[in-house]
Amino acid sequence: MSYIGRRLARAILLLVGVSALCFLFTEIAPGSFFDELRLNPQISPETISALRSHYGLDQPLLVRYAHWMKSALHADLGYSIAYNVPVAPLLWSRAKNTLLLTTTALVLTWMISVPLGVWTANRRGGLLDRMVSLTGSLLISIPEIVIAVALLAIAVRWRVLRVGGMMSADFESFSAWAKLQDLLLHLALPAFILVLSETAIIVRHVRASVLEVLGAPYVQAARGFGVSQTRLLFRHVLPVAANPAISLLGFSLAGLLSGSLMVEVICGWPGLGPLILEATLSRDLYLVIGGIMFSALFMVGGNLLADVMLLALDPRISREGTDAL
Amino acid sequence: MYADSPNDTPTESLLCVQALRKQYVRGGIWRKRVPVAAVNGVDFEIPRGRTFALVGESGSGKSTVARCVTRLERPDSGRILIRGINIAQLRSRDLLPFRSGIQIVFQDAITSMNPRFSALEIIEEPLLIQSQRGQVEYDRRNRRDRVGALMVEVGISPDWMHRSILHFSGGQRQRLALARALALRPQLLVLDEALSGLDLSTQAQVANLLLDLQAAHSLTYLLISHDLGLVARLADEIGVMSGGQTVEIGPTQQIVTSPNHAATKKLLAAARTATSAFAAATGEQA
Amino acid sequence: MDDSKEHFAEVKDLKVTYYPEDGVPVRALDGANLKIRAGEIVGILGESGCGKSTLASAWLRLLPPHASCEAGTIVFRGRNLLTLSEQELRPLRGKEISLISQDPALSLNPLIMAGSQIGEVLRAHSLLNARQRRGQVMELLREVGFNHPEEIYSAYPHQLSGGQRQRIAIAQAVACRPALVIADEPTSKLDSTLQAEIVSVLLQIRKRHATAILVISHDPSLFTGFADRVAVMYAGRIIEVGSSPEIFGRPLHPYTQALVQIAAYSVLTKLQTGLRFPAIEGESPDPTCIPAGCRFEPRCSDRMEICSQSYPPQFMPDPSRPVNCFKYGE
Repeated sequence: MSYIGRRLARAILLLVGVSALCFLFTEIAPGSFFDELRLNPQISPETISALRSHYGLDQPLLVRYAHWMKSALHADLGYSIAYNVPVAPLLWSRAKNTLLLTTTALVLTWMISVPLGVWTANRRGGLLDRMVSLTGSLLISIPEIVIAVALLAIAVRWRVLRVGGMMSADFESFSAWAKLQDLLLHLALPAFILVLSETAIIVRHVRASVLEVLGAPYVQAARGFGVSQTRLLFRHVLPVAANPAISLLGFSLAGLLSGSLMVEVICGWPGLGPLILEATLSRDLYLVIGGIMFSALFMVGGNLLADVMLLALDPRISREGTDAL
Repeated sequence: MYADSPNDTPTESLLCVQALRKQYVRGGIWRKRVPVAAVNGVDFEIPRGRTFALVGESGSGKSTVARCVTRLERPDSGRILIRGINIAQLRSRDLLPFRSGIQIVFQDAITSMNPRFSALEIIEEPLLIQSQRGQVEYDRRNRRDRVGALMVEVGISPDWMHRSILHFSGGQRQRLALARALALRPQLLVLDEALSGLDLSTQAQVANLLLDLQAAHSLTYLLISHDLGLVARLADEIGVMSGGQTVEIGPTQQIVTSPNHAATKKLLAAARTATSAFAAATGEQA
Repeated sequence: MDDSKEHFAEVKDLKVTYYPEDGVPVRALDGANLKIRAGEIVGILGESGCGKSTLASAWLRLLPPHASCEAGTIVFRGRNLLTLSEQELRPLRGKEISLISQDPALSLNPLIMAGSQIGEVLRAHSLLNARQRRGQVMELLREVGFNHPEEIYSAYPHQLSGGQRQRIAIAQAVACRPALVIADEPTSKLDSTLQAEIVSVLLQIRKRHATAILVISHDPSLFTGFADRVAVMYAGRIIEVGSSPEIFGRPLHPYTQALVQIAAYSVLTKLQTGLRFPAIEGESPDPTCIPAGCRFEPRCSDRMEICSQSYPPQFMPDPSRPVNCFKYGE
C-alpha cells in the first residue's frame, strides 16, 4: 500500500479507537446527567426513567455505540441533553469560533517564530539571540494560566481592547466595518496569549534545527565554494531544517481545536473549549463524545497533513529506496 | 558458553559457510517493492587459528556476510556451521551460548558509541551483560582488573581507563574496540573493515596487534576489506566477492599471483597500481 | 624543477591554535611553510593530527570559530589571505581557490539535486542564466567522467555511490576554473579500486586548465605518479620536501623513511604471510603539550642527544631538498 494510503488507514483506525475509548470512559465515569434531577424530590423516578429512555441512555453500551457509529457516519452525533439541540450543529458553531482564534494564533506564531528562529541561529550569541532566549525561558517557565490572567488584568486596565466574549452586546447594530473592528478587538487578547506561549517554544525548535544544519559539512562545503550567506540560509539550510519544523507544524495543526481551552475559558471566548468543559461537568454525554471526536479528527488530520508535506518535500523518504547495500 | 574442547584437532574448521543467501527489499513507498539480493550464494571455510579474508568492492555483499555470520541478521537460507553446528536459523535464545565465541569489530567502532562512556565502561559492557545473564560471575573489581589486563594487551595504558573515549585517537579507539571484543574470550573474530580509514602508520600498528593477539589466543579471523594489498599480508586464504557471490577462493599466494576472475583482477589492479607506481619510485621491482 | 617560475601561492610560518570550550588549547599548526607554483601538484603527506586538514581549511578561512590563526601569512597572488575580511574572501572561494572536503558522503546537501549543487557554485560567481548554467554543469559532469550527465544531474546524493559523489565534489570545485584546488584526503573514504579513477580525473583537470592542486593524504601511494612535489608534515610542521620520486626513492627524514617502508610493504610480489608490518612505535605527540626538541624524536630509531634539546633547523643536503633533521647538519 502506498505511504499515504497506510497513513490514512492508520488515521481511521485511530479515530475508531478513540471513539471506543470515549464510550468506555464515559460509561465508567461516575455520575450521569440526571443525578441532579434525582435529588429534586418533586420529580418522580418515573419521569427520570422516561427521560432516560427518551435519550436512549437505558440501552446497553454496545448498542448505544453501534447506533452512534452508524449515525456518526451520517454526520449525526446525537442530541445534547442540556441544550436540547442536535450535537453536531452546536459543536460546529462553537468550533468555528475556536478555529478563528487558533488559526489566527497559529499563523501569527509561525510568522514570528520562523524568521526569529532563523535570525537568532544565524547570529548566534548576539544581542537579539540572548534577549529572545531569556524571554523564551521566562514565558515557558511561567504557567500559561498565570500569563493569561495577568494579561487579562492588564487588558482590563488598559481599556483599549475589548475583553470578554467575542462580540459586544450591541454587535448587531454595528456597521460591517465596526463589526470587524469589534471582532478584532475581542480577538486580540486571547490570540496574544496563545501566540506568546507557543512562540516561545517554536522559536527554540526552529533555532536549534537551523543551528544544527548550519554546522553540517555540506553547508560548510557550500560556504567554501563562495555561496553567499543569504543563499546558504534559504536554499541550503532551510529546506533541511524544515523537516523537524514541519513535524512541529503538524502538532500545531493538530492542536487547533484542543489547545486553547484554558484561554477560551479565561477570556470568555465562546469556543469549543468552554462547551466541552461544561458538558463534561454536567455529564451531557453525547456532547462530550462529539466534542472529543471533533478534536480527535483535527489532531489526526493535522498529523496526516504534516506527513504528506514531509513526503512532498524530502526526496529521501518517498521516491527511491536506499542505494548501495 | 563455548569453551575449548579437548577433542578438537587443530585443522578442524571453526567456521563453515554454505550457500548463504540474504536479500533486502528496496522501495515500498510509491515504488514497487524490489528485492535486492545482497548475498546470493556464498561458500567458504575457515580452519581454526587461521585468517580468512573476504574482499570485494562496496556493495559486493561482504558486510552482509559478516552480519550473517555473527547473527546480527538472520540469513534467508544456507548454513553457518560453527564447529559443525548450524546457527543460521537458531532463535535468539538458542544463540546465546554461541554469542561469546564470535565477536565483531567494525570500522571506526568506537566513534559510533556514546562519547560519555569511559574506556572502562565500553570494554566491560560485555562482561556486564554476561553477568546479568548469570552465565559468569563478575563483580566490579574483577571487571576492572580484567579490563585493565585487556587494555595492556592491546597496548593502551590502564591508567587511562577512566578517560572518555573522546580523548583517544582513531587508532587507539580501534584498539579499545579490540579489547572489548576480546573480553569474552572469543574463538572467532570478525573484522569488518576494521583497518579502513586509519592512517597508514596506525594501520600497521593495529595489524601487528592483530597478529600478536592471534598468536597469543589462537584466534581465528574473518577479515572483511576492500583493500587487497593490506589483507594479503594478513590472510592465509582469500575469498573474492562480487555481486553477492564468492567468485574466487584460494590461498593468498595463488590469488595474488594468478587471479582468474575479473573482480579479482580489478582488486589486484587497484592494489598493484598503488604499489607499482610506488615500486617505480622506490626503485624496486613491481 | 624550474626555480625561476614564480610561486603564486605561499604559506609562511603559519601557526593555528584551537581553543575548545572545555579543554586545553591545541596548537594544530606550528609554523608551516609551503610554496606552490602555478599548475603544480603538491602533496602533503602526514598522519591524522599533524595539522594537514587545518592547513587545507586555513587557506579560505573555513576553520571552525574556535580556531585562531595566530601568526604567519598565506600569500596568494600577492595578497595575504589571512588579512582579508569575510567579504573579500567570498569572491575567492570556489572561484580562485576551491576546497574539496574529506568525506564525499557528507559534503553534498541531501535535498538538492547533484547537478544543481554544481550549479550553485556557478551561480555564486557568474551571471549566467539558469539554462546556461545547466549547460555548463553538463560539460563539467562530462569532464569528471560521467557518460550520462542527464541522469546524474537530477540524481540526489543518496542515490549516488561514493565515487560518484566525490566526482560531483570535484566538479563543484573546478566549476569556475580556480587557479588552485585543495583536495583534502580525496580517496581516503573510498574503495581502493576508486583511487586510480579519482587521480586520473584530477590529472585531466590539471592538464586541461593548468590548475594547481594541493593534495593531502596519509597514504604515500596516492602521490606516486601524481604529485610533482611532496611535503611531509608531522606535528604541525613541514619536515621534508622533495619531488615525488626523490621522496619515495630516497627519503631523508626518519619519519618519511618509516612511512615509505610501510607503504612499500604492500608491494605484493614478495609475499610471506605472518611477517610483521614495519610499524612506527609510539603515537604522534599530544598536541596540547609539544616538546621542545624534534617532535619525532621519541619514536625515531636514529635519535641523537641533540634531537630532544632543540628543534632541528632546515638543512639542505641536496638542492631543493629541505629537511628538518639533525642527521643532515649541526
